[in-house]
Amino acid sequence: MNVSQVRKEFGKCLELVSMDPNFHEISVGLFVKKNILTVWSYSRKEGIEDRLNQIRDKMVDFGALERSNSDFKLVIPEGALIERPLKFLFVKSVEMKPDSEPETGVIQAKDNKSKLTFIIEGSNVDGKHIYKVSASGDHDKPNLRIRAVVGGFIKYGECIKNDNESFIFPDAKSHDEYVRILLPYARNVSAVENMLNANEQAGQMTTQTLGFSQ
Amino acid sequence: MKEMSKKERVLAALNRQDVDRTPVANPTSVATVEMMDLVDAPFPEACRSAELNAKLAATEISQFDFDSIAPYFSIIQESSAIGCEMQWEQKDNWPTVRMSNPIWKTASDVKVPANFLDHPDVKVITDSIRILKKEFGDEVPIIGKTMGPWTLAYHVFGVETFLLGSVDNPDETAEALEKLCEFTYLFGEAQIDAGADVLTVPDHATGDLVSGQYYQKFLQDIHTEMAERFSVPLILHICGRTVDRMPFIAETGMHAFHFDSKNSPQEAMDAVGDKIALVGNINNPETLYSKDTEDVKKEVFECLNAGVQLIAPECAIPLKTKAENLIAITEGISDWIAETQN
Repeated sequence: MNVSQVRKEFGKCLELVSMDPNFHEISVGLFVKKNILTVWSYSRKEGIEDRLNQIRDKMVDFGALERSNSDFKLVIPEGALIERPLKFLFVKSVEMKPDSEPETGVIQAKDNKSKLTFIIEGSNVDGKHIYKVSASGDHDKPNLRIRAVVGGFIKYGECIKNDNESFIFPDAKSHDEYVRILLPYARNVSAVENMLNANEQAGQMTTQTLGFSQ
Repeated sequence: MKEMSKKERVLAALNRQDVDRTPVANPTSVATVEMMDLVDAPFPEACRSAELNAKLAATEISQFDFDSIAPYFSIIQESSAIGCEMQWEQKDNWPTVRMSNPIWKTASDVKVPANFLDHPDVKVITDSIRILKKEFGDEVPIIGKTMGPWTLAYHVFGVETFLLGSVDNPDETAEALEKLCEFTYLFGEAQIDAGADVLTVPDHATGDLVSGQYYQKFLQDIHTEMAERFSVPLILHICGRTVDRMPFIAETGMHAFHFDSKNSPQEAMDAVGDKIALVGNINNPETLYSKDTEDVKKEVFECLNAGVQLIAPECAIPLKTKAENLIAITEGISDWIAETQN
């Protein structure tokens, strides 16, 4: 398919991974049209269909999305498209080892700035699914770190702050898989921002990247 | 007005003549990772093989319906042939010169290597132009690219050394620039012989490093001579904020100036008057790279409203640019025509 056909058939490109480390370093895009997501690449390398379906399946398994009957496609429930976590999920699905399995059980991650371990639990309160962040381990002011994690979810999950220790997703529904995906990013926003900025700079031809500026 | 061919349209716009519609013509590069996959011509191989280079360059026409083809994607082909230390990078990053290890120290070191035009990294461009000329004939203009002496000086002397030298010993700098021009002429003429219809001359006297006065002192005469000597229209490319030197550039006799989004379309048009055409200036790092098609179209409208003669991204586009944003440039022109004709 050419560019016009892809755009017409699959819609807008939400995210583009420039090099798939698991398949010939091809580029892979996530496209959205209404409530249908499509994993697509312009590459015509042998085995590409299987690889695209594999990425699609990883998104289903790690993101609790709904598999469509058609190749490369997923379904998002009407009104439940939350772009930012979806992008993180897509990138992770492309970059993870193909034999990776989703984690289960308590959603937790160690803080990489302290000896704390963050734990996130969701519960329904007045029709809203609220995620509460807590922490165990040694720290003088754990509340500061917890507040930072909530901030990370607001930034990378498009979440809404409920209070200093809790947040909800914009559709107020349960998204445990997104929480699991986002927690490693949300716990260290400054490092993630540096990583994202470095990714953005790669491939840009500017006076900075050419070394023609100070 | 009768529908023009792509070549007629671009050449007329470069000459500031009437056109059937404003052309889209990027004088630098529209290579992207998606297009590399489509035609199986990834970086860095597409910078080093004429066949792959031509395949990738042709996507400008086959996928985006732009009005020109620019097969020299980067800015390092001559410098590689000269002997600079190269970092060829990978598919999603630009090949660069390791300027921290410069190969020359003074103007007296500047010498054209024997068989410069036969070096594989130079020949890839001339051979690619021949392939493209054969494929597209006289319908589509091919825009070649030959580095100006200022850019080459950064590569061979190192940025800091060269700029400090221009303060401490301006005569030496002028001599070096004059000698480096030989590369510009040799490579440019070779591309014209191969079929290039237009040449871009990137010469990075950028706004954040040197002043407009510097441009006038060191480069204006050199560029004026280039405009006289080359037999095809020239497009000068300088990144960054350049409005302070645009009046000098406009006096060189070059056909067009490819300008950066750090200059607004209207102020750029006001600065050059009717002495030179402008090409640009859709923002790369933010708009084309990360915004939506509607944002791209908005910038196209700004350029057209100001009277910019050729619409293009401000520089070589980010390799990870989404294809839909490139199509939006052409669509933006159609939308503008539809809107202004109603």
